[in-house]
Amino acid sequence: METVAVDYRSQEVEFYYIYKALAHPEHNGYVQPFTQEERLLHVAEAKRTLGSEIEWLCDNMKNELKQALGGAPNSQFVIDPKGKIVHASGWSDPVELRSFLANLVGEVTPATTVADLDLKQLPPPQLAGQGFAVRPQMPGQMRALLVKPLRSHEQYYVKLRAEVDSRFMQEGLGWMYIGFHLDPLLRVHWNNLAPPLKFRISTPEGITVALAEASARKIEVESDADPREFLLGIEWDSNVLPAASLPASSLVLEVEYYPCHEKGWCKFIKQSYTIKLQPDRNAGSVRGRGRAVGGQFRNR
Amino acid sequence: MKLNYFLLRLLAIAGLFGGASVQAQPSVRQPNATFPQVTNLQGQELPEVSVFTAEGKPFSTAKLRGRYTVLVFGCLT
Repeated sequence: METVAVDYRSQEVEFYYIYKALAHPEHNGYVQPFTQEERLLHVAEAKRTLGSEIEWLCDNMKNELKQALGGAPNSQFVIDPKGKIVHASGWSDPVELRSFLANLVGEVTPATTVADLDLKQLPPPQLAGQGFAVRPQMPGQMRALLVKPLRSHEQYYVKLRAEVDSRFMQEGLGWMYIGFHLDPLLRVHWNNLAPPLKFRISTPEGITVALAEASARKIEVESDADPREFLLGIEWDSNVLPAASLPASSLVLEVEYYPCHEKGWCKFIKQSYTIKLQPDRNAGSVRGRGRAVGGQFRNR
Repeated sequence: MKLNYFLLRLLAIAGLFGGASVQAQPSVRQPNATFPQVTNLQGQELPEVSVFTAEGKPFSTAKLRGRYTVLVFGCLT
C-alpha cells in the first residue's frame, strides 16, 4: 500500500489509513482501548511500528465510520472528488488498487517497490515476563460480550474481556470467560509481591455464575504480564429472565489488582464494569490465545 | 437447579485449572464475496462521519472531497 501511495500521490490522489477497533486482540499483547485517547495511543503505536508514511485517521469510539462502510476489518475504498465511492473492496489489495487507479488517473511507471522505500518498522513493546500463569482451555466457539468500564479515577491499566460460549446462548448452560489483560501501551506489569487480582460478580435474577468471586493464583515471580483468566460456569433460567430481557441484562464485575508502572510506581486499584449479555460486534476475535500469530496491517 | 449449580462449580474449577488450546481462525485474505456489505457501497456517497486525526483533532469525512482519495481500514492486529 505504501508503494501505491508514493506513486499516486504524484497523481493528486490522497491516501488515509483509518484506524479502527482491533480485529484480533491479544496479538502482540495489544488489547481493545476503552477511550478515544487510548485509541489515539494505538494510532501512534501503529505509526511507530509500521513506519508508514500514509496519514492516519482514527475512527470514533462508536465505530461509526467502520460500521457506515460495511464493518469489514481490512477494507479499501476510493472516493471521487464529489464524495462518491467509486471503488469498494472488502479486503485491502494493493495490486487491485494500483490497477484501479491506473485506469482512473493513469498508470505510473516505473512502479515503486517496497525495496525502494525506507520503512522504519519497529517491534511491539517489550512486556514483562510471560508464560507464568496457566491459561484456561476454551470449551468451543466463544462470543465476546459488551463490556463497559464504569467511571474510575484511575486509568484502566488492566482491561476486561468477557465472552460466553455458544452453548450458553443456545441452551442456557455453558461457560463464561473472564480475562484481565494488561494494556501494553500503558507500560504496567503485575505486582506479584502484593495480593493477586481478585474479582466479584453480581448477577441479575435468572443468571447464576459459579464462583461469583475468585482470586487469581499466586505467581512465583516478582512481576509478569500474563493475563489473569477465569472460565466460569454460567446458567440462565429463562423462566425467571425471559429471552427478550436477556440483552438488556447486565452483570456487574468489581476487580481489585496491583499494577506497577515501568517508571517505578505501584498502586492498588479497584474498578468496576458492567457486562451486558449481548454480543459485541466490535470486540474482534482472539486467535490462539497468548500466541503471537496472525496478521497485522496486511498488504502494506 | 441444585444439580446444575453443582455442575457449574465443577465447571468453574475445571476452568481455573485447565490447560491451553483454542480454535484457530483463518488468517488468509478473504474474497470480496465475503463482504457484500462493502462492495455494495460502490456508487454511493461517502457517509459523513466525525472521526479524529492522529493528533486527536476532530475531522469530518465531508472534508474528503475535491480530489480522489483512498481509504484503507486497519489496526495493530
